[in-house]
Amino acid sequence: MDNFFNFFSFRDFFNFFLKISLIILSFIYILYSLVALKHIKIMSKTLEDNLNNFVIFLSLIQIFVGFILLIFSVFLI
Amino acid sequence: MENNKKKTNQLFFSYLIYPNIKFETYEEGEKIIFLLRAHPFTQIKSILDIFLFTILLIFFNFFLPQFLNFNQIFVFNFFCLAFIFSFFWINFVNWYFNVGILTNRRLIDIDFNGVLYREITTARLDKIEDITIKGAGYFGSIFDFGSIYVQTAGMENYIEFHDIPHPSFIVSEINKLLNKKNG
Repeated sequence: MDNFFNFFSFRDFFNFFLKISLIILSFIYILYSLVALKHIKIMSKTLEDNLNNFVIFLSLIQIFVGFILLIFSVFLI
Repeated sequence: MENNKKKTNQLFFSYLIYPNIKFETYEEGEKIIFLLRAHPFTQIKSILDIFLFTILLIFFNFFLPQFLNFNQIFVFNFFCLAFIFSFFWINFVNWYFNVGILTNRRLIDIDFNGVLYREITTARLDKIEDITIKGAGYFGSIFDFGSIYVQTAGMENYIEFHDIPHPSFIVSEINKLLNKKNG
């Protein structure tokens, strides 16, 4: 039993907790980015001007960043 | 104004004369005279918040090596920067797309409050009954911005243009259009 507790040290538990938290946060960030993109598309449809494509492009980048965060959370920590 | 139909963008796109835009309820043959956004100075709070978050992140980085390894610090910083960028971005698009439009026929107020919620209020110029200007305090006086409230016949709600640049000039232009309409 002592070996069991020694095997799962505080450090391992902390790393595991951090990893799970960051994975959940990544999912929330991706979800938020998708909603923001939808919001911005509605805005762009309501008011059309020259900057709209750039604004939508940056919102797509935000989703891309969300997936990078997820990959980092899973594989880098 | 009517004789000088030169397109101009001023104050970081918060005050556009004869802008090259279209909006959802655009009517064929309608001429857009002004597109107005909140004065850029009103965004200073968001910019200061972002600055503060960034300073806090830099401050945290002095202590993080005691608890986290290099990869964890890297991902933590990446996360924080992504959230700071998102905060900046949603503030920017909310500012950019919340506009007031004056055309030769109507006043249009486009508001996006929160996420996925929008409100478009229009008033025909011949229905306008009352226009009120409210100053925006100390900074409003310095940078010349304020709010315009337009009351129309048969409407309970005002059309509101919040913290727009040069409110007095805009009202004088609306009055000129009204005089023209009424002969």
